[in-house]
Amino acid sequence: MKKVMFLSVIAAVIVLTGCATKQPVISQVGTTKPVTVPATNNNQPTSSENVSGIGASGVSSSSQSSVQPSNQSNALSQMQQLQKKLKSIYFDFNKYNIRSNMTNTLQQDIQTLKASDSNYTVKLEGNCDDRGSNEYNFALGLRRANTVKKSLVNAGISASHITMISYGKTKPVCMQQTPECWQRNRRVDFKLLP
Amino acid sequence: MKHILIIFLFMSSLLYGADNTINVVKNVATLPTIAIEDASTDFSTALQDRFFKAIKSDLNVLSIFNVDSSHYKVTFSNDTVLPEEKNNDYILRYRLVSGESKTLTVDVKLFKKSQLVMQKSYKINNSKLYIFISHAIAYDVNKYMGAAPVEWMKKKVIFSRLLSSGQSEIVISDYTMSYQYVIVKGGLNIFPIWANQDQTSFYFTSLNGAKPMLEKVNISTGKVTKILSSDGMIACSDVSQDGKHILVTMAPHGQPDIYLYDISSKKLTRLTHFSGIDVDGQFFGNDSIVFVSDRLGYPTVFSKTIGSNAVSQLVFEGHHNTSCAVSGHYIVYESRETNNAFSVNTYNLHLMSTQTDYIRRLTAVGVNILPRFSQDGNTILFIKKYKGQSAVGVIRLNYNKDYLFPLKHENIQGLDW
Repeated sequence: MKKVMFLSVIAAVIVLTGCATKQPVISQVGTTKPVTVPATNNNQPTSSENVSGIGASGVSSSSQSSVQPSNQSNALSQMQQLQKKLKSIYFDFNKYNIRSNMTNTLQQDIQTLKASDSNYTVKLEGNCDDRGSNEYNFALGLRRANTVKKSLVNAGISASHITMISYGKTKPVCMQQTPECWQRNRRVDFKLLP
Repeated sequence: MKHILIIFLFMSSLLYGADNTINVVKNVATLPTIAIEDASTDFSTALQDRFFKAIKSDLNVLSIFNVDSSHYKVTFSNDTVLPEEKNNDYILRYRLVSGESKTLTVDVKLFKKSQLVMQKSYKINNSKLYIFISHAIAYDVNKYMGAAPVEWMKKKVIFSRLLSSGQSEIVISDYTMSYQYVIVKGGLNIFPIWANQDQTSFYFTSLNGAKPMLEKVNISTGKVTKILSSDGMIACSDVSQDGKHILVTMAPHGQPDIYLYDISSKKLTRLTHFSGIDVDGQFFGNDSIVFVSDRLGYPTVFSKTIGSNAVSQLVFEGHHNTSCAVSGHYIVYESRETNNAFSVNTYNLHLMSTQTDYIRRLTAVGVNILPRFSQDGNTILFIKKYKGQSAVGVIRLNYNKDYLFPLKHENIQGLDW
């Protein structure tokens, strides 16, 4: 895993102490030693108490096998070629239903996926334009991904081969404040995982 | 009869003053004036100017003075007041003094009509942190004046900002966002929220693994604890006053709903069951939540009692109300007046009370987002975007005043105070 998240312990958390004295002192607290935390694909909580928390929720753990990198470069190349054929599905403002002019695109994506190696996992990434709150847009992006997922499942693609994630408005393809740019960001992207 | 009338008018003013949704459009009383004298000889002119601007801004934000904007230069030990300042009710004199290893000391005198009424010294280990001394001075001046407490001035703000597509960082700052410290960087890390009143730890969502993960960071020790994960999305929307419970939006089955999570017992309770979008849960009283839902076909604000299936619509105005914050019986929400995708991209903040029918519009132009109450509920922090520029805004509800501090190209995605 190349991505590494650097987590720095704050070096300057400021608190005011000694207000009652003539010379208040603004002091530093906290450690100054930086901590490096690698981001991994193992998303299970590391502490036992957290595992029980997840279990109590009924939130299922993910299968790690689907995201292990493949050693077969040919297979990887084929997968990348296939991914390029999959077109993004675009949505209207604040909507998560498939609009009429996207139906054909979605059908083409479904046919492309059905004709391919069924062992691939399809990752549906929901995205939004930058209007509205961050949390609402994450939910909206997820609903869009879920709509596409339902279409895929209805067409016969196994739900166990589909994962979803929402990026809300944090993965825009453009940043302009124009209707054209907003439209490009209201989308669901297809990503294939070996 | 005259006495009864006076008492009636006095009681009426108290009643109106107690409701923050009432917009006071005219203050009868004249605010006292204050001038600022800079007696600094140490440090660069640039730092002296920055400190002057900081203390001037802080005194303005207190909203209890008319602040003279002139940058007067004097001698610290001088007992006299400059002729041009004699009309001011108060004089705040300070000097910046450098010490060993970048230490900054600020000596302060407060005069009331040439009479010394307050004298203090403030010390910090690094002159880059000067803004916190400015806030501390304003806090003490406010306290001396006997005005409503401004504890929020010493609180830290935590926010996430988007650096580029898919790249963000989490930053801790003062309330003006003048001083910023990046505490999480690398990858996509969002939704930071303080985990306790002391602001010694915080939650955030990491999107760097296979699944979104809610994590908790202890600032003092650097310990990172993984709390919950979910398919699709996960975000901590609110933390209870005692820090023992959190409201989380998550979607274990592709359906974003609000859950209550008990930190000690690890018990997770699903609170909403709508087939659309339920997000942004906020604790409301002892047994209820306020949240945003699109169950009417557009997002707006609802409430429900925990354990009950019934929901109540709280906000009837606007057609795209995607975020809210709660303090007592007050709710501030961001609202887009139209649901038209191609209309002007304007979001305004509104303040409502669950005890009255009044709604107070807090902003008028631009995109105004991410409202957050101070702990006492009398001040709101928010982000404003207008004509290609962005700023952090401070609204003093009781004084009917707001202030903006410009930001440099910040794309702020989440904020807590």
